[in-house]
Amino acid sequence: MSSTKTTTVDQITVAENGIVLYREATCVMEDNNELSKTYHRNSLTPGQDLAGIPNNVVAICHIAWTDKVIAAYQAALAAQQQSE
Amino acid sequence: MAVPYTFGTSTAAIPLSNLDSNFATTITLGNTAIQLGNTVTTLNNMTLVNSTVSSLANGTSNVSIATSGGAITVSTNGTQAMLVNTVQGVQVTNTLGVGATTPATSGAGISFPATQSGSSDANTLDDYEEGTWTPTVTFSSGSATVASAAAYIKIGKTCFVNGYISFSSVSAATAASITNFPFTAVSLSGTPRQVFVAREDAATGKMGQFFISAGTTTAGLQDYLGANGVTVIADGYKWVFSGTYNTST
Repeated sequence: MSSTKTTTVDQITVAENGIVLYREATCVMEDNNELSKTYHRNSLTPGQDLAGIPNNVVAICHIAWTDKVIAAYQAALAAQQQSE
Repeated sequence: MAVPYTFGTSTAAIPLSNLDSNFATTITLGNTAIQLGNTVTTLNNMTLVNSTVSSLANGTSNVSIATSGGAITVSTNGTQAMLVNTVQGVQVTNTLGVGATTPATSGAGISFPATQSGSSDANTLDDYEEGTWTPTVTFSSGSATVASAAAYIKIGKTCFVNGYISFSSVSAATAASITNFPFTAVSLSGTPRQVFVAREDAATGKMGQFFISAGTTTAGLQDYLGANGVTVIADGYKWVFSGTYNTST
């Protein structure tokens, strides 16, 4: 009887405005049976620092975050903050 | 006895003498003709009344479908797994998996797909997920050490969040943005942000507010009068928050 605990990025979603959401799933397996699974979620806004982010998520960000997407997101955010 | 004989009209046991010597005589079940030695896997147009269909393996019934009193019981390994009743509806013993999801083996409930299969129907619950997330703080200027933790539960397009953010080693920190929310807030005309209640729970007990901007995963932090900066960011401050926001999916 052996158990293993693994954490993987099991879901990456790109929102229309370029926000990248990803989910890390931590599974505890024993003899190929899943004993438990927990989720931890993260979201990344266009243009933000990607230090420490999993490589497969970084790859998606580089594709999704064109200069145009980053500029549009920051403009939208600035407009919302002005109305606060 | 007529040959081929239709069992559906039988009122007594049928003696083997009525079958021919090489067992080639067909019998009809429903409208399917079969004979001894056939391996028919489908019988058409049959009605079973007060019947049990079972499969035996090693002397144990590992699959059975039985009807009784207007209900259908589906069992595996001798244990009822599901009951279908026209009055009470459907009853499952453990967990029901929807969207071809393998039901969880612990507890009893409804298992949704790990990845949401969104429904456009307004009356269909299409998602459930619970987990954790880590609020991340960025400052307009200055700095501070931040500790934080939070949890979420998403039910359909509603996300419940609760958690805390604490500050230490604050150095001229000004307006703070809280990022890394687990789901994108919905964009709704005329509603630029959704609001959570917060309380500074370590030093002052003052009330505050988190407000997540539409279409984003970013929130602002202010006190109850709308002030930010040193009003909400100071050494030893610990903001606890809880609330609900509508998500885009």
